[in-house]
Amino acid sequence: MKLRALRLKSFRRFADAVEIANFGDGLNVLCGPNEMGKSTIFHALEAAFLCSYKLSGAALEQMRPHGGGDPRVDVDFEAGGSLWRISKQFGRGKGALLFDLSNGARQIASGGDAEAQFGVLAGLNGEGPARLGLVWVRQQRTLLAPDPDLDPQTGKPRARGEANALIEAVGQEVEAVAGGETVARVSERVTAALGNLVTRERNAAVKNGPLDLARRARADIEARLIGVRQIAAAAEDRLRRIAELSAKLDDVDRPGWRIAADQELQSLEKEIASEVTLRADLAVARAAHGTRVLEVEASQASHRMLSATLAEFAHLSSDAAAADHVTSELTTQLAQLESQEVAAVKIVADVAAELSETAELLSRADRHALWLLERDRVRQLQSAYDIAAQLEDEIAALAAQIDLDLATPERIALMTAQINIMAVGAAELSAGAPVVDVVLEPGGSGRVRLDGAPVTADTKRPVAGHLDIAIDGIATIRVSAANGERLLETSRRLEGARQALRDLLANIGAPDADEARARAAVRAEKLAQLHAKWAALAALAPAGCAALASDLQSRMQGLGPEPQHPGLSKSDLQSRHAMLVAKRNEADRQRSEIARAKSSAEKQFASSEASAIGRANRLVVLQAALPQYPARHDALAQAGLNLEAAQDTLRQSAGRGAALAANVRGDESFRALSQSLEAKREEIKRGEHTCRALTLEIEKLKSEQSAIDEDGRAGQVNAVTGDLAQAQEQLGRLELETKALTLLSTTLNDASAGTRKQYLEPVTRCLAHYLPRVFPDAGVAFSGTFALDALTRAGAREDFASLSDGTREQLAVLVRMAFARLICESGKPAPLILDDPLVYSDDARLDAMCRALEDAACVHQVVLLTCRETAFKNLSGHRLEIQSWQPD
Amino acid sequence: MVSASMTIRFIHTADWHIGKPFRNWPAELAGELSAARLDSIGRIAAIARARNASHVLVAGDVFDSDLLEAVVIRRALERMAREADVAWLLLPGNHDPARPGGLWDRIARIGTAENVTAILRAQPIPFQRDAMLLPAPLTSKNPGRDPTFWMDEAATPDGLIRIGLGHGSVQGFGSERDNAVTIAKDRARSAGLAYLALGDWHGQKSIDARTWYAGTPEPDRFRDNDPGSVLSVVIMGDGAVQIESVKSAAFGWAQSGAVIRSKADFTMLETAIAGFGHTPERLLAKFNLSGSLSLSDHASLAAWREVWSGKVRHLDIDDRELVALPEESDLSSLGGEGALVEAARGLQAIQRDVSHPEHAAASLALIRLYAFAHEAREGS
Repeated sequence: MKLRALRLKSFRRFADAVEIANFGDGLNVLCGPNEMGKSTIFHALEAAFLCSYKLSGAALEQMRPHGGGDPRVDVDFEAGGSLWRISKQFGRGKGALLFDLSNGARQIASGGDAEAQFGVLAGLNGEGPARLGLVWVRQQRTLLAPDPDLDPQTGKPRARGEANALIEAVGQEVEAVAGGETVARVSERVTAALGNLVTRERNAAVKNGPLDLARRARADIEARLIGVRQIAAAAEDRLRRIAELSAKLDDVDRPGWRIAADQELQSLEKEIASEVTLRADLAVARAAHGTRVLEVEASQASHRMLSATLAEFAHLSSDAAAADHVTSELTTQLAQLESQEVAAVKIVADVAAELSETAELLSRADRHALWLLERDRVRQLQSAYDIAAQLEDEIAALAAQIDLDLATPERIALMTAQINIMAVGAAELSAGAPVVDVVLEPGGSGRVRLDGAPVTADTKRPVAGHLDIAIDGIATIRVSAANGERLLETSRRLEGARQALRDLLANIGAPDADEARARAAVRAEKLAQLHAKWAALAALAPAGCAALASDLQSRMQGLGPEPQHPGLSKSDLQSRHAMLVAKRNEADRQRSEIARAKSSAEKQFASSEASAIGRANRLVVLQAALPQYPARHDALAQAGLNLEAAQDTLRQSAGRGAALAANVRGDESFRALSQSLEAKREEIKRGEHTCRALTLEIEKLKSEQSAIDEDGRAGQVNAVTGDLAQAQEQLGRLELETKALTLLSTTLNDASAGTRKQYLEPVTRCLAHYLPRVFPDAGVAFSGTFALDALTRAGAREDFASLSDGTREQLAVLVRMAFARLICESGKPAPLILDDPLVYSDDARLDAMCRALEDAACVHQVVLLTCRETAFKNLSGHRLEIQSWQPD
Repeated sequence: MVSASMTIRFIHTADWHIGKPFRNWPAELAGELSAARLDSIGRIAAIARARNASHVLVAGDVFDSDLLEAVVIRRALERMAREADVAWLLLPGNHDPARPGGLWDRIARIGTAENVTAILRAQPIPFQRDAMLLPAPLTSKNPGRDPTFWMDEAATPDGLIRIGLGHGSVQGFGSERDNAVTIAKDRARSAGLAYLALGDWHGQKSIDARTWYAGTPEPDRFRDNDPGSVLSVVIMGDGAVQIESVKSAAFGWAQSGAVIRSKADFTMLETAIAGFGHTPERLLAKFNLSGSLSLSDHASLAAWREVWSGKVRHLDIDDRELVALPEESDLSSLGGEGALVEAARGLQAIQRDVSHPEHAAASLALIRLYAFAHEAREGS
């Protein structure tokens, strides 16, 4: 099909009727400025070819021009070797007419019939734009991927018959190679079946899908199996334990063991009982023997006591006679000692009197010596008092002299200071003050006054401050010093010092400073003498003369008259006193010795007396205890007989005990027998306990087992194992199914990819005519639905979406050109119409694209609508013109 | 002195395995199989009556486990009690050993009817009028010794026939391979037994003229060892033993291997089913198929299986050894050339490569490819 003319009226931009009547075979270019109506031309073609004349609503309104009107489009086209015209009136008066222009413009159909026949002529199959949609590209749509069945409005997939048109174009034999729809359906079924089992993204089991459920079921059953196995194992273990315990119980509680044990026990108990009886008899015999022993001991004691009493009685009787003799001798000795004691007491008294007298004389000699010492002391105090009184007088005189003399060291120091001030002031004045030297002429005395004081002799007068020199009758002259104020101050200070010196000397009473200093030296010497006398007085009378006088007076009064002398010297008296003391000591010693001897004799006497009394008392007691003489000796013989009888009884008792002891077991043997008995009892007790414990344990285990048996879970192992086998089998089937489907899917995809290459070969072959012009050494990748996936350059794959706008646009146009060529090769050519394409291309690419378009135009009709006249100025081809049209 | 006129009759059976769950079978069938085991008691009783046998000796494994739910035990005891004219002598086997506190203690607590006797001790028991029964009950799953050893020395009154009853594998016989309970193969001779009734081998088997395995009365698996019968035993006064095998099974279990190459061979399977000798609705059949089938024939096998699963009670086809082999006709039906055929060839290559990790899945993938392709064509 080729376009030959387009006419339109009341269509969008064109309210008036216009036409393009000069479409050529190859490349047709309509250049014009914006708003010229190029896109209206494109839309008019779409309206003619793709829209029913019955169109209404928003779509119809979009066709109307702003001023309103009912759109009309007429297209002259060449198809099947003839020239045709389709005329469509939209809106009011709508209708469609088909004319055969090759046969005198004969109308051959109208209305829907016209549209149907027109569709056949144009190669439309009623499923949308079909092949025209592949090669008619709206403005700005070249940026979209040139994928078939992609809605140009939304960019989303929509059935437009384009893919089918391509499939038709690539030929029926290709369909056979690719398997076509059958492959797709098989793939869909594989995908659906696999998708029922595993997820496409992660190949994981679909949640709650058959595989997932089978796996979970198996896991659940495995868990259940573990549980029931544990229960069964516990039951098995319990049964094994019951068997073990039962065997043990049978072993412990074997028949007859208890009877034998009881018999052994009774035998042992009997033996023990017999032995216990024997031992009791032996104990009784031993107790009786003990009594016999006590009886013998008592008899022996009785015999011994009687013998002793008799012996003591005889002995005491003998002692009493001897004691009487000793008492007599002691009485005599006591009388002698008393007489010696009287004599000794008298000697002691005499010596004591003599000693008292000598002591009195010694006392008197001491008092006389003391009086003499006191008298000498009084005399010394009198002498000291006399010297002290004289010193006091001298001190008073010297002090009075010193007090009267005012040349004190303080005044002398003050005086010296004033003299120094004066010397400094005079030096300052003499150094800094001008001096007025007045030399009087004869007769001039008194006539000149210096500061009012008449000058009576020649004088030099320093000028401190100023000096008024007045000469009466002549003038008063004031002399002022240059540093008058300071000199005046110095002069005042000098004068002050002079006045102070004068006042000090007047106070001291000295005419000048030298005299004052001489008097000060004399005063200092007197002061030293005064200090020396004060020291001497302090040594004699520290408390003063008055105190010394008082002390003297007191002592003189206490001295009294001289005492009487004893007549002997003190040493003689002391010798005599010592001799008397020795004598008294000797007399005391003798008297003490006699007293001790006397005391000793008295004690012996008292002791003898006491012994005699005790002996007498004892004898009385013994006499009372003993039988009367002569029966005393018979009693002793009877006691001897009693003792012998007791001893016989004891011997008999010992014989009986020995006989019993011979039949009794030894302690060791008895203990062994007792231990055997206890061991046997323990054995029986242990056996019984073991039996009870085992029985209890067995019963307990049986009870537990019974409970387990009742719920039957322990017996579920086989059942759950069966469940697991079934689940495992089911899972195995599903897993094998999954593997098989996965393998089938992969294999089918691989096979489809191989056949797809053949399937797409015609498209890529057609594209190869144009692609190298713009993209040398590049290739493109298509999906199975002819969708452009990527550009491959230098071995690298670049997704279409990632390419630049210009590259995408160029690729899209190139692929459209390939589609147009393929359609043309299929024998149903359609014009390639591009509305304002390649707006993002650089000059070089644009130029290359133009060359490619020129190539394409050699094969089929190409219509290019563009506003960029300059850009496409080098594009050859037929330039279309829009002209006014006068409809019929 | 044995009287020549005496005759001892009894039914010898074993390995009832009552309580076996059959949980790896479809639930409905599992219930039927479990019920059939209980029902076999009634059938055995009928067989006994028909042959004037007053006693049934069950040589062990009466129950499948000694940890069964109480109700299962009660049901079995109740069934035996119901057959009051038959005396049931039950011997514990390795599945239900007489352990203290175990299943037989439970049975003792539950109580048994007069016609039911649990033999729990290895000691001679008077049997009928002229015989002594020498039982060898198992007291554990693995007693570790021949439980019948005592029979050699067991004293019985003169003139009485000695009948042994035991459970285990006879030494030298193939059955002991996985069994810890072994029995001397000449026990009948060494112990002077007129007959040794054995259990454990689920098939019926004669060790010698006097030593028999009765087999299970109701099969529970596909094994070719002649299960599903009981033995009717008659011991004559002269010691002669007459054995009659009597079918007792409710379900027929049959399996067969077959090498198939095309769907024409399916008739061979149908012939095999007919030859199993069971009514189809009580037949559990299993085929272990090997060989190869084209994809179209494989699809036909699936259809055949579906058809025959409706005809017999259960049909199990193990086709793991059956290879799906695409033929040219298969490929033609896929379109002759193109992606489907390419895919089929790719899968076939994997299928042929036994070292390929997806080797096992390739056959199924081929089968699915074929099925999907035909579904797609039929749907288009």
